[in-house]
Amino acid sequence: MNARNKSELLYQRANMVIPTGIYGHVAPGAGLPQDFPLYSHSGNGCRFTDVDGKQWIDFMCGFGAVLHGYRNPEVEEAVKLQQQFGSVFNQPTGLMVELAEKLVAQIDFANWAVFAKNGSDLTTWAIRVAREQTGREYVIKAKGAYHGVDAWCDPGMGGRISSDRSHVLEFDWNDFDQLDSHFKNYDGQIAAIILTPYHHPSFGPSLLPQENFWNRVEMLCKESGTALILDDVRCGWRIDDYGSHKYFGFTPDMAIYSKALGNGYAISSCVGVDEYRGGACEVFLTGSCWNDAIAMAAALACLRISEKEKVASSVMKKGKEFCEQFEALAEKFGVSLKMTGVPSMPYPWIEGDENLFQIQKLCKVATKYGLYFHPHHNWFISDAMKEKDVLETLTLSERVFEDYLSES
Amino acid sequence: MIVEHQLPIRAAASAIYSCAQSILAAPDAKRLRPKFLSDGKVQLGNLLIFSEKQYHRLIVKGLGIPKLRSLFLSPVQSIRLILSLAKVGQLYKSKDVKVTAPIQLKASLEAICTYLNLHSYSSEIFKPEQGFKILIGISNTETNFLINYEKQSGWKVYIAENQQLESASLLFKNIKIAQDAALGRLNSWISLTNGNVIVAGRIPLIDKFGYVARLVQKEVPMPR
Repeated sequence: MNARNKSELLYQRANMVIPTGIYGHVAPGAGLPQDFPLYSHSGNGCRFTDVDGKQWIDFMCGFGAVLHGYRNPEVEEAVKLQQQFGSVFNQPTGLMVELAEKLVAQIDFANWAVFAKNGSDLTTWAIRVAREQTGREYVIKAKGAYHGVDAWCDPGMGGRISSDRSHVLEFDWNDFDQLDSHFKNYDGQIAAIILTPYHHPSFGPSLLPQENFWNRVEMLCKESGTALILDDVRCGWRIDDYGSHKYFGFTPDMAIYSKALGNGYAISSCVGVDEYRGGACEVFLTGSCWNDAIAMAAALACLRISEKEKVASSVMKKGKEFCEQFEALAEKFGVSLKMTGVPSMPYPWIEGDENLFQIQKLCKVATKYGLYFHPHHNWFISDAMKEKDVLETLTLSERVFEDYLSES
Repeated sequence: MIVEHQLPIRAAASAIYSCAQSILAAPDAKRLRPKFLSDGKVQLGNLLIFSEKQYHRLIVKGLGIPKLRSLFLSPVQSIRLILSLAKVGQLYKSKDVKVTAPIQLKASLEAICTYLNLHSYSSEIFKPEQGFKILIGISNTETNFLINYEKQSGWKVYIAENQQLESASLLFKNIKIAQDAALGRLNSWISLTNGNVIVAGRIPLIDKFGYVARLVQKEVPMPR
């Protein structure tokens, strides 16, 4: 076990004043409760330091929120500039208009944009917009997909009532026939289908769309007057600098972004086509800090960086190189490991390890070497990662595999 | 038809029966097998009948008054039954943790299985988990239980024989921690981080199990 005295002391204090101590996706039980640090202190580039002073090479990037590296100078400069003027006022600032214009210009199908703080705020809002615009009630999602914390989709169990999901239908990712049967069984009743660009559930391998999947989904939605909503919260700006739909070759009606949009400054956006502008005008949307000018300044800087430096291509390339070498290393040690999903967001999957015992052991060993590998969630390649960081990771990973095998 | 408000008593009764099977001779244990009557009363050994309220009192305070008619129908058998109940009650007062903790742990798992089978929300969230198995054990001991679903019998507790079969495992650091868990004294979140409980495998399954276990902890009466 790693030395994490300060983490544990903080956690003891937390349990007195915070239900469960640490909740949500960063809850200890969701990762490696005795091996991951419980609290972070600071970050720089592709590394972070926990409160006990241990430095980690980070393959989670704040669960995808930090694309350009911790404390990216250009983002921090934009933030510092805006801090001189303030963050939240009684009205939005001009930055809101600038950011909306930038997104509308950058995302080919977008005619309008709105802003909030979390992806969850706007995935829920988007389905309500679809319901308002279509006059229909049902929503379809992929089984196991994560779209946020609201009652219609959260992965938890508490506080649910039977009506929360009575108008939510699910299908198995890539099973177009199952999806089609929902459209037939609920003909004229489906307001929206909300999907991630590819299937990236937790606790399971990532699945890319089969050939023609997206074209068929898009056609189905157009024919039935159903809104196609792309949840690009996790993938946004990591696969394509102009929206993940470009990479997979389809056009949604609405798309939601967050995480990498702000590089750690909390902001989310939903963009959409004119057909849904009416619905967007009618569905109430607000939050006390949603017009936060500092987060918007950060977002504008992030968009500039992504476009200028072609960051999506960069992390896809870095990810490809890393994944190929990591897989080769695994093979060298006789471990049948594949990096599933897209290279910038790989999910390591060991053959036959459906119950996750082996990946948990591997990631547990990795913590001894300061490698933050998550056993239950796709990883994220930081654009701040340099060749030397990848080399260091692979060198340490060799020892990880050695230890993993000797402990098995 | 089972009414949900009767579930806590049913779960408690299955826990008590589990204890009885562990510590009493088979004929005496069999007498503590509960029968749930249509009006919500609990009958033990085809003899003593308790109202829900009195059965609850029996569990929590160790003293519950059966329907007098049932008591006088067969006084000798009734007294034997009451003495058997007293022995089960003593289990929860005993300081011999090494002996009592595994029995109490199994009893609490039986109560949880009652909920997995009969509590509508618990059985709904566990439906996709049929086919997966949870190993619950105490580290460095031979105490290992498997919670498994069979079509004929539903979710049940088994003594684990082959530890390779589980889909997820939950191990208590030692006997004292296991007893704390069985008696509803363990904070599930803290115990994960401080190593008092070690989980591995299908974490969503463990999550669901934890949710139902905490529900049982909240609702099911326990001996005090």
